[in-house]
Amino acid sequence: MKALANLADNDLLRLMASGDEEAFTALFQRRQGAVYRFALQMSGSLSIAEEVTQEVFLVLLRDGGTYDASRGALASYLYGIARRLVWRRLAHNRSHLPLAPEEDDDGRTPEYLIAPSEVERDLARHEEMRSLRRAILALPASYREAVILCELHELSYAEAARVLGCAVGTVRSRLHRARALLSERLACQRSSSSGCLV
Amino acid sequence: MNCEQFENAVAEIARGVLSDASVSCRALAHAETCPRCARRLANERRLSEMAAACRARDGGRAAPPAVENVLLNAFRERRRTLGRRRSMWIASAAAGAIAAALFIAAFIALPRSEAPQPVAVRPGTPAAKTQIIAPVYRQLQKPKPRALRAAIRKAVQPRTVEAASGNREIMTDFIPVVYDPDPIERGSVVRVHLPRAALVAFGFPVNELRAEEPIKADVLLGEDGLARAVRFVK
Repeated sequence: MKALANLADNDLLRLMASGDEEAFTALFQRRQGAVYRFALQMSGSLSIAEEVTQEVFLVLLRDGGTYDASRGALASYLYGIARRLVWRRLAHNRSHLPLAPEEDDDGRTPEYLIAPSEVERDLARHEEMRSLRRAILALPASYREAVILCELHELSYAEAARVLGCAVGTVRSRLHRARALLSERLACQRSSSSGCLV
Repeated sequence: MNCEQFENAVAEIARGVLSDASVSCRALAHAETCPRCARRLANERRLSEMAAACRARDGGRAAPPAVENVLLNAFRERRRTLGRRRSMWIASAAAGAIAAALFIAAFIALPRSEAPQPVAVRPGTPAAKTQIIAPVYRQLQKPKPRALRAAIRKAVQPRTVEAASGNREIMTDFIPVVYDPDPIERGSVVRVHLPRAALVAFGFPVNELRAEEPIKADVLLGEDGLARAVRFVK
């Protein structure tokens, strides 16, 4: 398994296609986190994120042979599949899309939002992060995916353009507009929480 | 730099991805003189900090183990299915190869249908009532086309052939019955009985008193079964 960890995605994919279970496991462990986070940040739903992650890798199992390395990295390919699946689910669940990250079945805030960490010891900062997530979820979907890919997943404009299937300039302008909206909303929230009327 | 130009650059300055250092310097200088743009830059920087904190916080997020278990089961099932399919394919290919080998072996081992054998002409054999004696096939040796054509073109004088029984047969050369520019390469000869009057059609003199008597003739058939030439035998 240690040797597999050093292999490139394409090599793991080739081994996986030949029936190597360890290669599949290595590839899954390497890429599932990004896919899961992308789906979670796009939908705000734990269940959608799980379903999408599962389905992305099922698609990879079934259609991995169609992946063309010359057209982009495997990570971009997986983001592209995840994006389509998320859009499909958002269209299906449009009527009850959460405006804030959803809670667990027992009504508590998901653990990842309240787990103590260096950053979140400051409650105000914790609240700001919740506000940011809420503001991202409230963005139009095309702006939301640009912010998530470029800001939260640190993809370059070119990589994001490949995932989104649009021009680099389009990504840049969407990101710019999305950031302006987020800045405005977060500033507004800060002003409201400090008692100022905007 | 004015406020509009600043607005175009502010996000990339805050993200630290602006490659043109001179634009960055001019934008910062503008922000020092414009309170509105300074506030805008501060908000953008705050947003970048929050995004970085969010990245750090979410970096360890992963799908629950149940997802991996489901996928591993799917992987194993798929591998089994593909293995079965591959085995079936190999078995089918092997069966096909064996069947092909058996067919080829049978084709080589079984006797082929015999080609028509040359039959000796027996002049003494009584004629059939239908006027067609048993067909006499003669596998022609590959003729020289030009020579054959020349032979057919001209009806030469009758010549005498020594039959197998020792009786002598007198026969004309072959006379073409159709115009065929292409010489025939292979064919067969059929012995028939014709009314003697048929000689008239080929320009031979006929004794009217014996016009009803049959006369032997050999018809040259091409590979397509059509009569190409005829010769008369006595």
